[in-house]
Amino acid sequence: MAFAVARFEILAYTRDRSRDRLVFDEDVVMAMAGTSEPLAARQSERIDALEVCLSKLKPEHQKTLTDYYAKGYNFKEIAAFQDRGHSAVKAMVMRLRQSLGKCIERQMASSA
Amino acid sequence: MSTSEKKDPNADDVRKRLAELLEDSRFNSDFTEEQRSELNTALRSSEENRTFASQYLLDSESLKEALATDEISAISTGKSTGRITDTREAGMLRRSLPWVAMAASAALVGLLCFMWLSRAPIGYIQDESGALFAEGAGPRDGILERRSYELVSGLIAVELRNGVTMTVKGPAEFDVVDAFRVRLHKGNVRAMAPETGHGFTIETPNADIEDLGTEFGVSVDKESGDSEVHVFDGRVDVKNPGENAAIASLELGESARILKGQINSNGSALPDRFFTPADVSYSRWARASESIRQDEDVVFYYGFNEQIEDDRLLKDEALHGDANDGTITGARWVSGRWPGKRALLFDQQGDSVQIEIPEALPRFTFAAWVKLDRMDEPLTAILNSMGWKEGSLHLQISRSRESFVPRAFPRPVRKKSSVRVPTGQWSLLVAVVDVEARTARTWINGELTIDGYMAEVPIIDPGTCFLGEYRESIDGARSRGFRGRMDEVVLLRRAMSEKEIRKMYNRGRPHSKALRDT
Repeated sequence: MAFAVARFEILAYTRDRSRDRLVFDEDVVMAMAGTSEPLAARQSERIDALEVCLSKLKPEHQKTLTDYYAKGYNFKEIAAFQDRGHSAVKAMVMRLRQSLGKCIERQMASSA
Repeated sequence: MSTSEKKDPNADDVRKRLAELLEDSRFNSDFTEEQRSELNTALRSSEENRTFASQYLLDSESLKEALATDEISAISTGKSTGRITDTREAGMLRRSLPWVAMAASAALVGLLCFMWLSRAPIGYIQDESGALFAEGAGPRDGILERRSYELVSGLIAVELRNGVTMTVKGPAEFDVVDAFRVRLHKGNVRAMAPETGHGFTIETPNADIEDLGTEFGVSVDKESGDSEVHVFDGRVDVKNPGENAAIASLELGESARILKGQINSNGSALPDRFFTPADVSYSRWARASESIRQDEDVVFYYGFNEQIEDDRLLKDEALHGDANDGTITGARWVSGRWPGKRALLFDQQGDSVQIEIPEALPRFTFAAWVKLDRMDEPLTAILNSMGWKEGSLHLQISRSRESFVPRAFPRPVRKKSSVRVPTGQWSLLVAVVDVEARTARTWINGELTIDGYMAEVPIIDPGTCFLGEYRESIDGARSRGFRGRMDEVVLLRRAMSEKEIRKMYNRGRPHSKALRDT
């Protein structure tokens, strides 16, 4: 039996993905759930801060993060676009995440 | 990005390492068992590490959402050539926001973990026409992953994340290995590889076909495993399966038949045997136009097919009711949305099509695919009744191009969107008027632009009308000349829903960027 191209359903998507090799062990996922409650409650505040912090980044850094997080390119692919080394791109993303983290904390502290 | 409590001098290093492991796990094909074990052990060992990792995953999702939203704004303002797939991804993530805000549970973290550990999609289905996949062997919402697919019939256009585009005609069986490798067991594929897709290879049972910056077609016969390669641009290398050395190279215009261990020249390349992305969208439109022609509410349907015996006739192709053929004055036949599609070009004073609409319409939907070149006058006629009288119909674009307004009706109108009728690109203009409901609405490219409420209820009795101009009388002054092309015009005696209008746009758009269903 055949069927037409179906529209996306998040549950089917995550169910299917679960067939991939798992990164996290089940007990770790359960343990992390316990720590997530207070964090999730604050997340909308962090998103506001994140947006302010993102707007302060240089356009090329924003682009790298968009390619990596929003478009799903891996370090190797971005390295090929930017004509630089794979580890240089990885280091840049890690650095940007770190500075965004600090910026978010500062932003939240100042608006508290 | 978690709150830092600087108790442990090594805490920063631990977080750095955790962040690195989390990033490495994102594309888990490269993630080793040692790394996995290190990550899980670290997460088991301390509450602080788990908090850091949970926050890192939450922030990653928020980052993805914020950046994808930016991408959408760029697309809608025309600043980017962003792909439909970005819109879909962003839409999915935007929907995920309430979970982040509300759901603080095992399910949330579980979901984030699933999303995190997943591989990024290798490619997306950009367009399709009548595509049917075998059960369990189709993509979910057009996302291509590393697995096997079986296209039973129809056509698909695919974009891989390295920029390679492929069109596949069913029946076809293929495995997506990664963005640079597709294994074709059966079927017919055309591939176009830009610079970023250099080295893209289609593996067939008897040979690997490697692209060297080109456009080529490959077909595979499942029973024999024999394949054919046709090169339309650039060069391809043919290699024995899994080997590095090329056993032959094919240049632009050449084709070859590849049997087991044997390559035979096959004469000139035959581009018409392999479908392009434009063929896919043309086929998608052709199927949709067939169903409009069959609609019992159609007053007229002009598909703009040139009639060899009378090129001044615009044939009404509706399958029901009386034929309302139009009479062409001046306008010339040119190409439309696709190379094989005809259109009328209105570029001279007096270019128009005369139509008789013999019935009064309590409600109607008018839709036209147009490519506006310029606006010479304050108003540009799309469909105008002759003269100005109660019940006459005047669908036109104002110079500001802000609106596509049915002028015969008292306002007020409410502007719903800043979308304008663009110049130089094909656009779908739709007007829906319902006398009983007292509404008059217009859409540009599937987006509601004007929502008007009629204070009085006129009779809508269009009578003699003209496509592309306004005339006071048959021999009277002509004005509001439309300058551009039209290639499909339909009038229905019912009000189409917003969903139908968006569907009409998605099925008729000449490019692959579709509107999301609402």
